[in-house]
Amino acid sequence: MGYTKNPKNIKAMEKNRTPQLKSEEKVDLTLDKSVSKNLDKFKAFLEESSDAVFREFKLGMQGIPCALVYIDGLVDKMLIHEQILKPMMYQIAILENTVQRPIEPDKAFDYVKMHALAVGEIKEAETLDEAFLFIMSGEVGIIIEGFDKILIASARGWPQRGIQEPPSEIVIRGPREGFTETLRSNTALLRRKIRDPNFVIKTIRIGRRGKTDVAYAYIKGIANQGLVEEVERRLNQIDVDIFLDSSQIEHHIQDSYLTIFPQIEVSERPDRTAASLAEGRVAILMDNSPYALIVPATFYQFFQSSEDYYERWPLSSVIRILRWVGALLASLTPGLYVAIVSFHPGFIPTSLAISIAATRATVPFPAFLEALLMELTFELLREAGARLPRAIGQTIGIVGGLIIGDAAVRAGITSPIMVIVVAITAIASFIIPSYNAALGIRLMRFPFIIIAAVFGIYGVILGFIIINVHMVTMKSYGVSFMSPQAPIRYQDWKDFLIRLPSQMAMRRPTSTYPVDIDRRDQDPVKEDTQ
Amino acid sequence: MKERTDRLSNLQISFIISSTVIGVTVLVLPRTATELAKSGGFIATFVTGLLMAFILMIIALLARRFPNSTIIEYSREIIGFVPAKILGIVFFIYFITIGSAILRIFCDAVKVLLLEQTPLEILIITFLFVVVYLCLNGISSIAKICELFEPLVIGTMLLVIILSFRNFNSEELLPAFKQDVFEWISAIPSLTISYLGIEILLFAVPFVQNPDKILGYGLLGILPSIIIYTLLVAVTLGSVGVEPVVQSLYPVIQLARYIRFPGGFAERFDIFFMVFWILGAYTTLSSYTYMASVSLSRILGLRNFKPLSILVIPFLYILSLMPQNIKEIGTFSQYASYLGLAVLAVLVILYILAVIFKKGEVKK
Repeated sequence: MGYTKNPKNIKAMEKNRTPQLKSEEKVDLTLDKSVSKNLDKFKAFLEESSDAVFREFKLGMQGIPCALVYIDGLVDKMLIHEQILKPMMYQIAILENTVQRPIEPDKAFDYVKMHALAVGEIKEAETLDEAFLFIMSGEVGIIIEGFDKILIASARGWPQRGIQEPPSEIVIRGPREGFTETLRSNTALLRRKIRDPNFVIKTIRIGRRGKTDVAYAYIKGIANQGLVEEVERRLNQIDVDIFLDSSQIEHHIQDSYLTIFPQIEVSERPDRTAASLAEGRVAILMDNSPYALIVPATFYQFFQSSEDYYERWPLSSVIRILRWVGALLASLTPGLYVAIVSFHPGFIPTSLAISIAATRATVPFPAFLEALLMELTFELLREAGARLPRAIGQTIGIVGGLIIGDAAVRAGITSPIMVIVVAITAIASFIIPSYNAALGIRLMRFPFIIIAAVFGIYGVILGFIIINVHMVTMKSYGVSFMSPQAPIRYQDWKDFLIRLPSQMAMRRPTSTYPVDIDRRDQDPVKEDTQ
Repeated sequence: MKERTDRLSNLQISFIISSTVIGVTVLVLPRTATELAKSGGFIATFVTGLLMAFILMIIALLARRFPNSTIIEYSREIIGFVPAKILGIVFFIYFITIGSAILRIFCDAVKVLLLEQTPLEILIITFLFVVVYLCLNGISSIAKICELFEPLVIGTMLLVIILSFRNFNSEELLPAFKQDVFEWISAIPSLTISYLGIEILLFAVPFVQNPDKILGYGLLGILPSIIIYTLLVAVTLGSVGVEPVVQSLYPVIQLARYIRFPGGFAERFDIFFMVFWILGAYTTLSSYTYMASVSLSRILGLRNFKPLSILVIPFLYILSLMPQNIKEIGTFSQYASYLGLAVLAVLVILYILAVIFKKGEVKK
């Protein structure tokens, strides 16, 4: 790429940096009645794009000039051939011939719409701008001579990933389908679970250039109207040109960016999303992203897996408590180790203290440095393994975990106890079902190590207090992040630290302020008619 | 969702009272109780608790008459402008005094028991900053923190009490029943400091959803402290003995050291106890800092108390460093306790005046 080194070219590039089509007001966006003039208007924008297709043809017996405009790759070609081109060019002519009544040119538009196009979804575009929006989303624009509007036929069809098991939320028991990158199939997955007409899916377009479809879904009559309005308000104020993933939307609609905790729940699972909708939450789905955003989120949601609801309640309750223990271990163990070894060896039984001291005798570093070093090594290994192909990832695990760990102990760089601590931290951090919450919780151990090195166990407690104060001050869409524990809502505790049998948890959680609190059908009118 | 006003629920009132009351002084409580009341210390603690519950009732009744303002504002209605200002200043001094007394007791205990090498000043200033971080977030955050921490604090104390029953010797307590009633009463003024904190009700009521019910929930808030304090003093006396308790610096730590963790998992229960005691101390001091900064803001006629809670830091810092040794800390906290009793008496008088002059809203 030699041209970048050429100063002349760079100057030319800089001169051309003023965008040609920056302000669309300068361009005439109205449509003309003539096909050729309309086509020219389209071509003014699309001529340089190789994927734009312009197909001119004649309609029916009289040969009224027509044209198709679509983007190759976004449309289903078979559908265009069989249901759009074939009827318009050929079958209409046969029809005209048999009934011996040619179509009048000034009614051609409605005639085509009503009799020719065997396509389910037909719209009309009045301006060029509107037409572009449809065409760029994979629909076909049909221009007919004599009309200053364009017929839009939906023929969307592009290569897409099939519905697979979501890799980030694997369950043993429960549905195995996950969201894909296509918004329509994602909304269909939800609709299949909630067939209520009150289940609303509204779509808006976000991004000045990306114009991505973003849908927010909720169940009318359960979700709080204030919550829905707040979601609408936050989505509408986004002004960024291109969005690539729903996480970018998350960054724009979350409450605060000054935190390590996610304030919006993310899920790849339609069943989990549907369950949240039934609790009165709002789901936000984006085209091109397999992750649904669910608001509002509380801290405790990140410790719940959809499988909790599919397994027997005592077992899933135990597993939930285990996750809490895991979170505490993942964030506190290295800090506590440093505090106990360097400040309070008396806290642990004497025999254990002596054996720790004996294994640490050969270690040249203070406990603080040892812990920091080993935890850093673990993070390196994890990050190295995370983005590698699976086969190589395993090698990293063996090399990192077994060889380095063993060699580090033998070489006297670290003590075996420290290796145990790191291993416990690592395993405990992976027990938290939500990946993004687990990341924050796991990284918390570094500040804990540092504060433990300065203030011992007192420092660990101070750190714990600061984290807790930070969390209670957080809110997600008007809901306290730590509810139902702070503020306490005992009604919600049926599905909190433990999960009581479904028969006992017939009321929805009150944290989201649902309109309809009861899951059962308590409509008195219906009860009377039965 | 639309901004929801951060109103406190009634249960939060209970939590906020109980966690403001239970705090630092738990550590020295058995000694304070025993010094004057001897083996009747637990009865003296119980009697003080009942007295405090009674005063809490009066405070609740007083606060219920003026559900929309704090004591600093409505005292003007009862006793007039200038006396109310003076009373406000007295309140501020009182909160600062109690705050710095418990801060000093706390940091001293941390220094003695956990961090011998760390300078006291560092301990005080770090704890103060963590406290002010919470205060800056307002009373609803304080209430939430109380809800998170209070179960842990109460749970650990109950655990200490239950595990200590093994060492419990009831003979140590028997002389209590031969004692003169006056001996118990003589311990009340020094014991008051352990129950101080019920005044938070005066500052919390303007934020309560349903001020009509604060009486019941307020009593629910002081109930855990009465039970735990009485049991703790009794258990400490029974297992450590009257004389050692009077001699000991931190009798509860002494008590916790006697405990053998089942299974020998942790050698020293006292550190375990300390950990959760720090949480209790934190909520207590946060409440006092909050009350001090709010009362200061009301005296100055300001709506926003947040800048003032930073202003309160130097006051607390300097005052808490005033006592030079353990003995002076004891005297300091004793005077703080007397001041607390005096302030509570003033509150009772205020209530009587409010009833006589028919000020505020009267509930049927």
